[in-house]
Formats: sequence, structure tokens, C-alpha cells
Amino acid sequence: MNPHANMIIMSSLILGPMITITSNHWIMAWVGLEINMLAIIPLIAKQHHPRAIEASIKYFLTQAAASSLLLFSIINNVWNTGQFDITQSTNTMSSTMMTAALTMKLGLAPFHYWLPETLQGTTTMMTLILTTWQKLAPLTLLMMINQSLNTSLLVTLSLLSMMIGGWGGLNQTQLRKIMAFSSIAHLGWMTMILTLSTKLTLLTFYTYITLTTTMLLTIKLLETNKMSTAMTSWTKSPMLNAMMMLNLMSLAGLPPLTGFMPKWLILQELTKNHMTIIATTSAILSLLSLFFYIRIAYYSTITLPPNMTNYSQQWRHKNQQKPYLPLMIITSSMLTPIMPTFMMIM
Amino acid sequence: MTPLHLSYFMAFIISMTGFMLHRTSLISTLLCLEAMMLSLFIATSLCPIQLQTTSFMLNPMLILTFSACEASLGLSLLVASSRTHNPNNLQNLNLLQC
Amino acid sequence: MLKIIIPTIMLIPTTTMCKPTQLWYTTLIHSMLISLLSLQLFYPSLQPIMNFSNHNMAADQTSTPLIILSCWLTPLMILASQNHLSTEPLSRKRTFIITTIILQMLLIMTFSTTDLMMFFVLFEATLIPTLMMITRWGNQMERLNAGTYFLFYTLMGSLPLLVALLSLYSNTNSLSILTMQLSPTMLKNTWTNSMWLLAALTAFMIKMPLYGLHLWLPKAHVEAPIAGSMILAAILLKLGGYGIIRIMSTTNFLSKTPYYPFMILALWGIIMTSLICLRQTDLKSLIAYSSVSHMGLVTAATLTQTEWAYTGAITLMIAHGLTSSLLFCLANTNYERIHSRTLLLTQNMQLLLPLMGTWWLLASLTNMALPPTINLMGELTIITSLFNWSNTTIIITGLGTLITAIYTLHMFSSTQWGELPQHIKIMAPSHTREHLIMTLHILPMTLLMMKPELIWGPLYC
Repeated sequence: MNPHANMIIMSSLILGPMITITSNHWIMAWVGLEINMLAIIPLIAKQHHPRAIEASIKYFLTQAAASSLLLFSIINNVWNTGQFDITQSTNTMSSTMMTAALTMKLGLAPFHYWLPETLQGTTTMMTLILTTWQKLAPLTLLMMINQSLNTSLLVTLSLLSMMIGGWGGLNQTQLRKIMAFSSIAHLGWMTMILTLSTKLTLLTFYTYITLTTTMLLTIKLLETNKMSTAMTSWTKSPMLNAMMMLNLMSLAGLPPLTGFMPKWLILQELTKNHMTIIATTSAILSLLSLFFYIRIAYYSTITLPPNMTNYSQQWRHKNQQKPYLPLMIITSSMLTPIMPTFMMIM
Repeated sequence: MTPLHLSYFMAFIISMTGFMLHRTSLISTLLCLEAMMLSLFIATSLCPIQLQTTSFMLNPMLILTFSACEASLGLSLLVASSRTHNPNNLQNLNLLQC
Repeated sequence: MLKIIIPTIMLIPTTTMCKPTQLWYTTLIHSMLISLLSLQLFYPSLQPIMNFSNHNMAADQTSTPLIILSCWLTPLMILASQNHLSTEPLSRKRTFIITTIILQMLLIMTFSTTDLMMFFVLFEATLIPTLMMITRWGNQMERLNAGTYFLFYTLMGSLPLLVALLSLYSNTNSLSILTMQLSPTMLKNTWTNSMWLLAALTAFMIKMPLYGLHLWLPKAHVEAPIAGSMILAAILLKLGGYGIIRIMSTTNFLSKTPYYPFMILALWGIIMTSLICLRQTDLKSLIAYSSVSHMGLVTAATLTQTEWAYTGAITLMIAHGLTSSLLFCLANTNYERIHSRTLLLTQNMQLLLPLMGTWWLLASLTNMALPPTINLMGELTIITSLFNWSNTTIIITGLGTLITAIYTLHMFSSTQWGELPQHIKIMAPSHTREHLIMTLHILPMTLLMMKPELIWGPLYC
């Protein structure tokens, strides 16, 4: 791609969510979302490959439908209340439609079908952007309107997406699709706590970004994009391969790794609000995700040689050192003990 | 619900239904998307009448601009997909299905 | 407590940095020194106080024996794994030793914490090193299956425990086991409290394991390497018993009715698993089922909630920890020579390895609880307290003791006597290292016979 075009696209990719996050006016928030969507489509469609085109069409159609639905609910709200303030979206029908539109943008169940397919059609770096940066703006909007959201609707959606995220991932062998389902399950945890405590949503989101970034960078470095190539990843970087298991366990939320911290706090908040049954259900649903994470760990780390593979090119691999990766792995696996600090600064 | 409200509401709902159900060709999907955006443009332009405020035409212009951008992006995707897929059948987009 | 934990943590850099030729004995001597250092914890445990090291860590009569046992097991694990790991590359040897050390550190912290939430986190944290040990260093492909069973059984039980602890926290605003007895909220006999109890106990019951929830245990034991089997049998099962004692003694319930299903399963499990042992062909599986049977006694004892029962439970936990670990080591010496766990293929071993026959005899005698052993002390105390709870339990416990004796004799006779199998043409003699492992298991048991009040728990104070 032309470097000038690339720079314009990347800067507007960053600019879009920034506008959304800083705006207080619904139209500007919508404009930010639109800029972001306009910027990311060329990046997805960059490789001239049928899969990339298909992924970008699917992404475009869902995002365009979601943003026009969002605009529709905004205008409905304006016609009924007369103001464009984001935090004042008090109309019930509008806020329900906004929930639907924003969850469609996020990829929460039952609006999740585009997410695994889009991620499968792109590169690993684009997967990273799609699963982390692209979630920022819609999630911020959801947090800003959390006063007018319906708790039972959101809890239903989040339980559903935990279920879909768990069960869908069980069936996959492609690592990017698995990461997509893991993203759906994590988004379930974020929306679960959205109406009760937005700070915890933010904390879960930060943790999710840290873990997913580390995992996807590891996948990129090891060049494993499915289970069968994960079996030979130990030849490239044995230490990173061993750490990948810890990272996967952390994604699954096993104590005492970082991923356990947000789950712990969310469960605590839920039990404090007398939602014990929901807390137990969501805790047990996270076991479904654990199963496919542990399967990746079995393939990549636990079963070492003699594992034969058909991919002979795998052996001719230039070993690259990434200085930021050790730091990220430490962050994504050992952050739980400093939880009190987190709770103080948030 | 005033007639004005009803008209843009129905326009949006009908075009959204078309967007969701009419999925043989990509161009018709894009047209439905454009219809949705235009109904929203009309709704925003009529907002001052409903709210009886001073006419403030920035919002409809922003919406119109971005819907034009969106439409051009959709058309470029249509062109891109015509090289690899049959653009008259959206069911062909099944390379990435789970 | 930090006197033990900090040297344990510093053992990790020692393992990564020491010379390859000195790897085994440096770590062995270091961990042995730590376990000798841990023996001083016994002294304050003879007084009826919590031995505080800081306000989050304390050791009392219940936890001290278990802390010392987990310190004691680490050098034995390192010693027992040497032959198993001799073909592995150096970095994986180091990783293995680091895994055992992390496990020891986590276990010490689990047993010494005074906060139930902390206890839960560390209880769960032991899962990852154990899983790595089972699935990474096991011998067959079924180890992956066994690891999955282990992980999911434990987590399925312990996630409700997490919610139960959190809801208790939101009621009482404290989860410290020191102040828990004083909170009045748990006294009501309601459905909520019954459900709470069910959620809180199931995790430990799975870990124990209770009969019916025990399916993960034989799989894990059979597939795990020797160190994994040892730590599982000796300490990790005891986490369940320890957890029940802690939960029970800190939250007072008026009604004993919610315990009855657990009690029935535990008592019935003693008979059933002993009977399963009688028809086992797999040596490690037999020892694993015998663990389930003994742990059934411990479960039943902890649920009766009397002082005598707690004493019996702790005594039996320690005795069984040493005995079953010893039996796994013995099974491993056979396995390393024959490369099979099948009982039929390892007959008349006392002809080939005569001194091992002595160890087999001693281990079998302790496993069937012969009079002077601490196993008998524990079992007798438990049987007495169960008899006090209900007279009819004597039928089940007596029958259980009988069948235990039968299957232990069966195990002993089928490995040590009989006809020498034709396929054994040549066999390595037993090493000094192996005799040392057995001695280090037998020695504490013999010494504890002299002064059993060290592991009597709350009764002796």
C-alpha cells in the first residue's frame, strides 16, 4: 500500500475511536464510529484474496447496518427527548435499540456471526486490531449510556455470549477463529457487569486487551494459525511456547494468573447484588472456554516431539526476537497480586 | 406518533427489512443501506420542525457526507468482489464459514 | 513461615543457574535443608495457639503437620524422578524441578494462610503445576485425557466454592478463619445455608475424593509420572480434608442433616473402592483406589465434627500421605524395570530384588494399619468417633478395614510371591537412591510412632 495512504488510513483508524470516546454529542460519536469503519475496511481488504474481500464485505455490511441502526435510535431519542447528549438517552425503546446496535458492533451474541469469519479472513495483526482497538469505541458508548440500559437484557445477552463463545470455540481448529470465540466469551463478562459497575467493565477490558494482544503476538511470532501447525511451534521458540501455555491458562481465568482477577471481582460484584445463580452459571460457563484453550496448550506445549507434521517449511524459519514480548507475557500472567493497587487507582 | 415521525420510521423499517431479507445481490443490499441512511437524513432534517428549535443544518450534512462515503466504500467493495466472486449472489460468500 | 518460603523461592534461581552435573544433588540437598528447617514449626504447634508469622499467615495444630509433610515430600520427589528424567534434555529437567518447587511453595502458602479467599486462590493455583506435571511428563498418550479429567473435575467443584465464599464475604465482610466463628449469620437452618454448604463442600469432596466424584483420581494417578503420583497422593488429596476441616470448624451449623448424603457416600465408598481394589490388575490404579478408600474414612470423620474425629482425620491424612507415597515409589521401581504396571507381569519380585521385598512388606503392613503404626492410630480414632456418632457404622468401617487388609495382602503376595514370569531375563539391581527414598518414607512413620502427639491436631493441647 502507498505509505501516504497507509498513514492517512492508520491515523483515521486511531482518530475514529478517539472522537467517539471524547464526544458528548451523539452525532459526533456516530461520526467517530463511521470514520473508524471507513478506515479499517481498506486494511482488511488489503490483500487481494477472495477470503479478505469476503471478510471485508461481511464486516462492512454488519458495521454499516449497526451504525445506521444506532443513528436511527439516536434520532428516535432526539425526537422524544429533544437532546443529543449521550448520557441522557432515556427513551426505553431507543436505549434497547442502541444496545442491539452497539452489541452488533462489538460482536456480542446473538449478533456474533460476523466476528469469527471476519477474523479468519484477515491477517493476525488485523485480528489483533479487530479484537482490541475496534471494541474500544462501542464499549465506551455502552458504558456512557449504562444508566439507561436494561440489566436483565444485558445479563441475558452476556450469558448467551459466554455460552456461544464456549461452545462455538470447541468446534474450531483455526486459532484465529478460536480467538474470535474467546473474544465473544470475554465480551460476555464485560457486559455482564456493565450495569452494576462500569469500572469493572473497564478493568475486564484492559485485562482482555493485555491477554489477547500477548496471545496474538505469540501466534504471529510462532506463525501458527491452526492446531496442526501449533504442534511444531516448539521448534521456533521453546521458551515462548512454554509461556504460551501460561498465557492460555490466564485467558481461561485460572487463578492465580491475571485473567482470574477480573472474573473474581465480577463474581464478587454479582454476589453482592444477590445474583448468586447468575454468578455460578457464568463461572461454570467459563469452563467451556477453558476446554479449548487447554486443547491448544496440549497441542503446542504439552506434547513435544516426536510429533510429525506435513508442513516442512515450518523448519526453515527465521528466528526473530521481540523485546516487548517478555514484558507482555509477565503482564498477562502475573498481575493478580497487585489487584489492590488496581482497585485503588480505578 | 406524528405523521412525520411515522413516515421516516416506516421508511427506515422497510429498508432495514429489505437489507436483512433481500440477499441475492450485493448491489440491492447496498441500495437498501442507502435507503436507510437517506431516511435517517430526512429524519435529521425534520428534527427542527418536531422540536421547534432553530434550524441547524450541520447534523444532516454530516450524515449525508458519511452515508456518501459509506456508499462509495460499499461500491468499491462491490468492484473488488466482482473480481473474485459472483456479485449477483451473496450466497457465494461462504469461504469463511465455520 | 518466611524462613521456609523464601528459601523455597530462592531454589528456583538455584535450579536455573547451577551446573548441569550438580543439578540433582544441589536441589536435593537444598530442599532437604528446607524440610529440616520446617521441622521447627512443630514446637509451637504443641501449644493451643495459632503460630503467627504475620497477620495473614499462621500455622496451628491442623496445618503444621501438612506443611511439614509437603516440605518433606519435595526432596523425595526430586530423588524419585531422577531415573525417569535421565533421558530428558537439561532444560526440561530444570523445568521439572522448578515445577515441583513452585508446587511446594504454593502448598506451604495454602496450608498457612488464614484467609479463606486466599486459601481458595492458592488451592486453585496448585492446579496448574500439577496439570503440567501430569500432562507433560506422563508416560502415555492417555495422560492428556487424565489431565483434562483432573482439571475439569476440580474446577467444576471449586467454582461454586468461589461463589459461596464470595457470598459469605458479602454477608459477614470478612473471610478470616480466626473471626469466622464469631459471625452469627451462618447459624440459621435455611435452604440458602444448605445450598451454601453444598457449594462449599463439593469442591473439597471432589478433591478428597468422595466416592462417586473420584473418577479423575485413578486416571490421574495411573498416567502421572512418579513425582506427580507422590504429590497427588500425599498432599493434594489432603487439601480437600484440610479444607473441610477449616470450613466446618469456622462456620457453625445447627443442623447436621445436609451432611448425610456426603456421609453415606463416604461410608459406602470405603466398601466399594476396597472391593474395586480386589479386582484391579493395574498396580498404580490399585494404590489409587486404596487412597480413595482411606480418604472416605477421613471424609466421614471430618463431617462428624468432633475433636476426636478431627484428630483421627489429621493423623490418618499424614499416615496415608507417607504410606501411599511410599507405595507409589515402590510401584515405580517395578515400573522402571518391567515397563508395565500390570500385577501379573511383576510376580515374585522378592527373588530378584530382595531388599525391596522388605520395603514392600513394611509398606503393606502400614497400609493395612498394623498395630503400632500411625495408620492404625488414625483409623482407630476415626472408627471410634464414627461409632459414637452412630453405632451401625462399625459394620461398614470394620468391613472396610477387613477388605483393606485383604487387598493389601493380595497386592503384596501377587508382587512378591508366586512364579517368576518367563519374560524377565535380566533386571537392573535396586539402587541406593531407591533404598534412600524408601528409608526417608519409613523413617518419619517410625519416628511418629514414638511421638504421635505431633500429628494429633487439636486434641493434644
